[in-house]
Amino acid sequence: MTSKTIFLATDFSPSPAGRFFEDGPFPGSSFRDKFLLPAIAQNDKVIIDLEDTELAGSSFLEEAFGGLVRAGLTETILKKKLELRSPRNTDPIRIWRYIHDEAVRCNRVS
Amino acid sequence: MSATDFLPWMPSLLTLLGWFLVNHQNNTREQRKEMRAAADQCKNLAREGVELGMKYWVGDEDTHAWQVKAALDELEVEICRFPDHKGRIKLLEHHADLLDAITGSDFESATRKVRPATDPLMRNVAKVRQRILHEIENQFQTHYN
Repeated sequence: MTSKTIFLATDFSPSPAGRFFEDGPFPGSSFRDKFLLPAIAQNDKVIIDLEDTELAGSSFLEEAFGGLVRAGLTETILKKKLELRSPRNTDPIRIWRYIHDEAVRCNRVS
Repeated sequence: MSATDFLPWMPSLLTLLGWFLVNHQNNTREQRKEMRAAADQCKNLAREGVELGMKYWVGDEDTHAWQVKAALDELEVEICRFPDHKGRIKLLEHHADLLDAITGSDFESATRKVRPATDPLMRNVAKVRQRILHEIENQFQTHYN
């Protein structure tokens, strides 16, 4: 079983913000396309560590994680593969909510 | 051993029991005071976060996204003063709702629209604000009053 840990603060940015490239240098779409999607495709388990990051806006988190469902992944697969670590209790609550809401909207729960 | 054998110990036992009760009452009172302060601080931070958020959305030039996020981040720290089984989980869910309402949509976007006060986003922020303020008080009353 292969596993990869992505440290958002050091691998990407301690100040992630916005949805798309025109919003700034470290948007959710960039994190999703450059880090999340390749890691999920190549590993059985992907751990996302949000330690040392500024509070991420919902726009960033929704685009990065809700966007995984729009990219074709199901909620079931993401629950199996993704593990979230954060000093903030609300980060996992929000991220799983965006994934679930998008999965329901796109009919990709399982 | 008869009951009269315990009589010499009764004053000491009653003193010990009295001390225990008074100590318990003092601890409860102190905890209530601490949590009252925490609940009030949570409410202040929620109000501050919402005020900054609304200023950001109406296009106030002196209000920046980082200020909004800093206030909302601080709110989570304060919410975590509530123990797990005494309101924290419920309050964190409401906090997540508040974060969604304020930092969702085109927050931090280069093409962010300036919203009028009557915009549905602003109404939603006001609604979520009201809910979290109620829940903070509700959790305090349920567990500490």
